[in-house]
Amino acid sequence: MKSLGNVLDEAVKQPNSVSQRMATAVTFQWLCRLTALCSILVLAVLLYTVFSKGFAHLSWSFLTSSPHPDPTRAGIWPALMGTFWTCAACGFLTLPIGIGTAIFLEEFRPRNRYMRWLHALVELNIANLAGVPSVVYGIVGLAAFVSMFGLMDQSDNAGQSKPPFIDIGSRYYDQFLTLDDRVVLVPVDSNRSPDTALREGLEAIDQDGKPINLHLIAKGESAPDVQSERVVAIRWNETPGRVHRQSWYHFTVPFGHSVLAGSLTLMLVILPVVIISSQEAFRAIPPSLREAALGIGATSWQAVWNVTLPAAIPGIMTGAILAMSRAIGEAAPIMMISGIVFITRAPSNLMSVFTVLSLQIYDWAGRHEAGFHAISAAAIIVLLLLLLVFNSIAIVIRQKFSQP
Amino acid sequence: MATITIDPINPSQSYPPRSLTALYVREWIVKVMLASCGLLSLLVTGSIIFVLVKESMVFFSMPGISVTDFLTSTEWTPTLGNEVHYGIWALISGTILVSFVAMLIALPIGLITAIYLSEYAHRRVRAILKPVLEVLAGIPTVVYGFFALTVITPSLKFVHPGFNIYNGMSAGIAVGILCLPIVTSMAEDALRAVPRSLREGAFGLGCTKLEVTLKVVLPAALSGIISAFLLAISRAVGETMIVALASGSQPHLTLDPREATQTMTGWMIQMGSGDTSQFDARYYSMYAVACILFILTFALTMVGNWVRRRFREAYE
Repeated sequence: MKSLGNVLDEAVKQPNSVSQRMATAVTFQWLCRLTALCSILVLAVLLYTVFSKGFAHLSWSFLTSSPHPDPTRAGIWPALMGTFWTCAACGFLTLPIGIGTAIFLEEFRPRNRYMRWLHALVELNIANLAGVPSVVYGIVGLAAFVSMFGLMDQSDNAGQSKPPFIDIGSRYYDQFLTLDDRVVLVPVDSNRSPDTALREGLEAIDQDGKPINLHLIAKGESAPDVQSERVVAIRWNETPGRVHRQSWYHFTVPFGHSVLAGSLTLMLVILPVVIISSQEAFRAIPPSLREAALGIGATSWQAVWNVTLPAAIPGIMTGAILAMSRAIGEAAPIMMISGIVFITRAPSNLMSVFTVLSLQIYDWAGRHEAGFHAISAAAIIVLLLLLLVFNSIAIVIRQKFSQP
Repeated sequence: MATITIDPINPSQSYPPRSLTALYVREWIVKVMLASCGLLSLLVTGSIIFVLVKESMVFFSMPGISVTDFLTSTEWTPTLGNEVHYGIWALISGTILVSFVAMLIALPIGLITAIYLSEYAHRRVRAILKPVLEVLAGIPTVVYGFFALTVITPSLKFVHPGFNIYNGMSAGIAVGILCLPIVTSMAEDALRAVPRSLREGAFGLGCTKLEVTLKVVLPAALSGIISAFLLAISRAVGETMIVALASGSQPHLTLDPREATQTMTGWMIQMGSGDTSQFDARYYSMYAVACILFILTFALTMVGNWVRRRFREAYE
């Protein structure tokens, strides 16, 4: 500390007269004011740029249409829905674990040596996890969730995708074209089953789900002319294409480039934030409440569940909402999981491929045409409004519960 | 504050004695569950290290790639046909350049704003400035990337035409704006924790406000300020979306802020945004780069914690 004092002494040379010292003090105060003005100025320029570029493009159709190569027709619906899906899933995953860890750290103070050591280790670990860049979590998620370390043999070195290890809630069909160029589907057991061999009377369903029996036209046989026969007739050399239909509970292991993998990765990013803010909420509870509960014979868990947890809920919720708004804005880890992909449909289950709003902004902002910059700015406005709503909720909760 | 309502006990009603065993069992189950929540965070760290080490080993076992070349070479030329070099220093120089520019902006402005907020600002000024900083802290990084690309870069080109469309300076300025609220809020907390009596003592000796601030308050809060600086550096090193948008994708050893460059995070995100089903050396190089980045940020966090604990001036 001594050396620093000397450095500062030299930095602020001892002026001779009082008036000089006063003048330095006043100058510094003005410097302070100007510097503080900087941040206000930056925010103003930033908001002005975004709104002046993007406001004209905000419309209902911008919100509800899909990305498009033509910037004037592009929209953000899949990205918006992707953000909702990932953040909702992320919230459900993160909150119980985060609050549980905070309770473990704050309310269950250890008595023996080993547990105390574990506590210290977990606390240090969380402080370190909070400092890990989100892109590192992204590539860890890529290895751990998307392909599960390749242990499940998701894809070989040639880049060929193999079918998932576990596959629930999706039905697979072999798709054929009849003579009439209509699509018929032959159900198969799983994605791994071999292509359906064509035979006379093969049971299939048409596009409306009606069962039909196929008529096989052998090599050299002439095709029928009657319409009703053409619909169910199929050539001997027709090749099948594998298609699938997914139900809402569709689930696969490994997770692939899915909403679930994305939200698990986001969970890793915001878990330290949730834990630290929940810990602070628990620390803010006056010890007298806890002691009173313990004094009338409550066990540690009864004291937590009935007394401290209800009292800490506002603080926890505020922290959780702020963590969620961080999750909404995160782009790097999601980019690692889903990549820049052209997605035109909103996710329909946890295994859907997806994109999020911040990623869509990145994609558009990185292009050279000015039209894409404009819709990127419009998407930023939507993102900022979303964050504004979230933060307002946090402020309302804080105001409502902080009244004595 | 939660209100606790107590049911009136009816003395005529008799309660059956509750089983203590069930209570203990439940208590034990809850403890185990909470402890496993805590252990999960250790598992996360463990799996980060496991993934990074395992995949980096795959990278280093590939033909034509050696650890010494990775750690000493200054050329990062994975796409060139015959001369393939993976030299981390090309990427580290980009990271240093961007972080240096960012810190040149964030540290002085952040610290002076913190001093202003804690020592000088009127209550009404605080009421404006604090929310502004909170908003700046809450803006997603991809928005800063957009800002760098559409505002900062054109302004730089206007001032000096030598700037490339993608340059380290623009990314650095945006990262600096991002780090500014972090420095300000942490440094302000540290300055405010200095007890009033110290300031009053210095005023009593006839110091001006500036002298009180620089010679008494600042040294007393130094451990907190330094750990704020270290946190900001670690954020700048790990920042991804801004550099991905604004600093370009040409990894080469340069400290010229006008040129396009690439940081460690920029390389990782470039690999991530592409087709990651190609499991070649470039894909696995991402993990080796992430290893270096992880070690760097981990060290910064540890040093920051250590500084805060070791040099904390405790006032009763």
